[in-house]
Amino acid sequence: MFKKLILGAGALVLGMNVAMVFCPDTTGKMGVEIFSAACGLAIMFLASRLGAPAAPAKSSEPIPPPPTVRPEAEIVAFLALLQEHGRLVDFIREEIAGASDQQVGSAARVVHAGCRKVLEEYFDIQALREGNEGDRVVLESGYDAAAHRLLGSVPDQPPYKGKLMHPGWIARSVKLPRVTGVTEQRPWPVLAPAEIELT
Amino acid sequence: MKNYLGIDLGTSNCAIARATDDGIPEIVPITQAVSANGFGGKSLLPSAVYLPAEGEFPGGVPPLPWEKEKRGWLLGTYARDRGALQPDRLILSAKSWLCHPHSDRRGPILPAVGSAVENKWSPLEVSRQLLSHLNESTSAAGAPLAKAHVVVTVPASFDEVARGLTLEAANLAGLGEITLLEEPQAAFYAWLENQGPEWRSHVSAGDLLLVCDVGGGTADFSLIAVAGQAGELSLERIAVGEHLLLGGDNMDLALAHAVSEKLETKGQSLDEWQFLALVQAVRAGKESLLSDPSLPEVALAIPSRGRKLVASTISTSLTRAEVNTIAIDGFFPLSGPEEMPALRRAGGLRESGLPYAADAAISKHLARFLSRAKANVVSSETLFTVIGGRTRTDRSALLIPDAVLFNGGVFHASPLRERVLTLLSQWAGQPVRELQGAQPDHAVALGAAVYARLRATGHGLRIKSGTARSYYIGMESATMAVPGRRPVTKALCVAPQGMEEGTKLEIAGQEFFLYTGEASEFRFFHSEVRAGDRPGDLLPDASALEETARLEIAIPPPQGHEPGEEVPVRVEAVVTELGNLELYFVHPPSAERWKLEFNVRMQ
Repeated sequence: MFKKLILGAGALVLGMNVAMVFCPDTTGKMGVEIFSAACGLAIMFLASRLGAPAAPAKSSEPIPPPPTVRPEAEIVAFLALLQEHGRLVDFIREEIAGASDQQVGSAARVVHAGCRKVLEEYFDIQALREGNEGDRVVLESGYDAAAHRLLGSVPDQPPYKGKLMHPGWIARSVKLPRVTGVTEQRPWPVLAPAEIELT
Repeated sequence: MKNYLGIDLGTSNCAIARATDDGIPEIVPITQAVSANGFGGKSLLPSAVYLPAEGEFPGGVPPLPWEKEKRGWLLGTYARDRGALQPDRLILSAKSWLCHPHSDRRGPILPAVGSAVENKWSPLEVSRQLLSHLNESTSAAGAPLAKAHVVVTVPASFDEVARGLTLEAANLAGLGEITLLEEPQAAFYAWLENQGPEWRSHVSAGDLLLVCDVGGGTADFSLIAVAGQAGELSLERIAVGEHLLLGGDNMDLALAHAVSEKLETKGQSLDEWQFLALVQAVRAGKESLLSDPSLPEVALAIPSRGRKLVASTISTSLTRAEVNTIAIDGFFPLSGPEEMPALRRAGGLRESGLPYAADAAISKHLARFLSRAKANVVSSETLFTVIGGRTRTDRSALLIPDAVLFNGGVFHASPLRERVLTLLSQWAGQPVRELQGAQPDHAVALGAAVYARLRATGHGLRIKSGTARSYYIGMESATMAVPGRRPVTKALCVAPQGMEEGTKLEIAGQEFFLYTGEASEFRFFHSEVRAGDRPGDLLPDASALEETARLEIAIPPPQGHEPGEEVPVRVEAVVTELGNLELYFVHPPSAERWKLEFNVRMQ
């Protein structure tokens, strides 16, 4: 129970920090953000160690304490996964103005299959609202404003009556891989390693 | 709350499931490296080890959260993915080497291809590290395996040597005492658990059930008989198949070759990296076509490894006709009951490697299994009665089951399940039904957890099984010397099929002479078709049996005897509570006992 609480606290600190990174109004306080991310991770790390028994010896060389993982590292690592499995960076960086739809279509299949696999693996993505596009919808007062976007002229008071344009998406669970192998010199992973075929 | 854990130590993937005293067993995520930069929990741990070159990871491979010291190898998802591009450094299917009687199972032989790796691993070491990883991952999550009741599954086709090595690997991995369970039985326990008390309405006394397990790289069959005594149903495993290296991966490869040839005719040739991508694409395409009967074909896009994705992706397609001809008719042809698989390749010389099945037709391997199963039950009066006697055996040249439980990823595809049922129904001359509610991916681990709970609490229905086959020791025959002729090796039955856990038997009334003090050769055999042999039966010629192991050891003479002397001994066989077979020579006058470690390397 105790362990769950600390884990929760760590996740909360980390979560708040990630939210700050994405919120454009709060830029300019990077130092504070990094500090709070570090706290979050450190709390989570401590909690994860509680109750973990000693691992058997593998070799005499101990592992140095891991450097603090910056939140950017998590995002870059995820982008690297989309590139690894779905070639997303290759696709976006390529000029396609001169390519035929047939060619773009084939490449899109690669991106679709790979990125879909990654999304399904790490997120449980569900429709935010039940119902189909075009359905009549009524939003009563007290509706979840952060999860809805109103289009058109909005009266002062709910209820709002309208047509569902997009049912929305929500990630019901997220289990992103934890980042390893970052150093002071390389604070986030490479997006795609250079490949050399040995001959 | 007690923890009951089941481990599916698979050829391609491992999984672990947990059951509690009251609750549905569930799959436990396994923490592992998933990419160069991260680790996470996944329900499957690929049974892959990657041995990096010096300098590939200057600071050591990325550490896992529980690791305090540097490790020189990768294991799991990232090992498999990285190794796909550096196959000389990747160990896959180590389990198939563990049960390969002609390989040095304790020797550093893996990866089997290439000479890039200097310090190779033994098949035993791979099993040990996989189990050790599972142990550390579950321990880090707060449930150390050493404090739980643990069941590890093995293929029904594993011989005693491979079973012994699996127990040894678990011991080395610090799992404490574990129990072994055959995979098809585990799948059946998962089905029983899933059905609850309802299972009795799906089978009836006198039924014979086939567990048909086709995974990525292996196929494994078992037959389970349902008996009714005083209104209560009981289950008995009566036959197991041979180890068969044939599965879904073979289908993907066959389809990929067909598509690649189609591209060649259009002047497009694939390099080996594109071929790898093609195999992946074909696998997904095959699954789509098999699960959606309305699709006529699926488009395949094969990227190259360069940066230009749009400019250099090759597009082609996989058609329904290709899947029907190659995956369905090629692997599951509607062959006759008398059509047996080609057992040897035509070439006289074979590259050293795994003995992959020479014939891709799983239907024919199934016919061979059912024909051998028939020989097995006919040889034993008890089993003959259990399966319903002549009313069943007169029906066909094969021992035809009444229902099938499917397991393994291949059988997610309903057309393949239907094909197997059609095939069996044709052989039977009457419909053979499917036991509904199979969970092809996780049944083995879930069933193993159920069995762990059953063993610890005694609650639940147990499948009567015991040793999967009959075991024999080779014996030099007492004949007059004839120049130029080696005496025929006879075989003494020491443990009949079905010998149960926790039992011991002595070959009564017979003594044999044992050479002591000098290195002598001992040979061990088994058979899947001689359930009727009794302990102490002496077969005139061992060449009818399969050789399990051969070892050369010097047994020290008992007190009061000189080296080189022959002493009279009795043979004792013990099947331990954990399910492994041990053999002893007992010298009654001195009461000395020697244990024969036949799970040592084959000479």
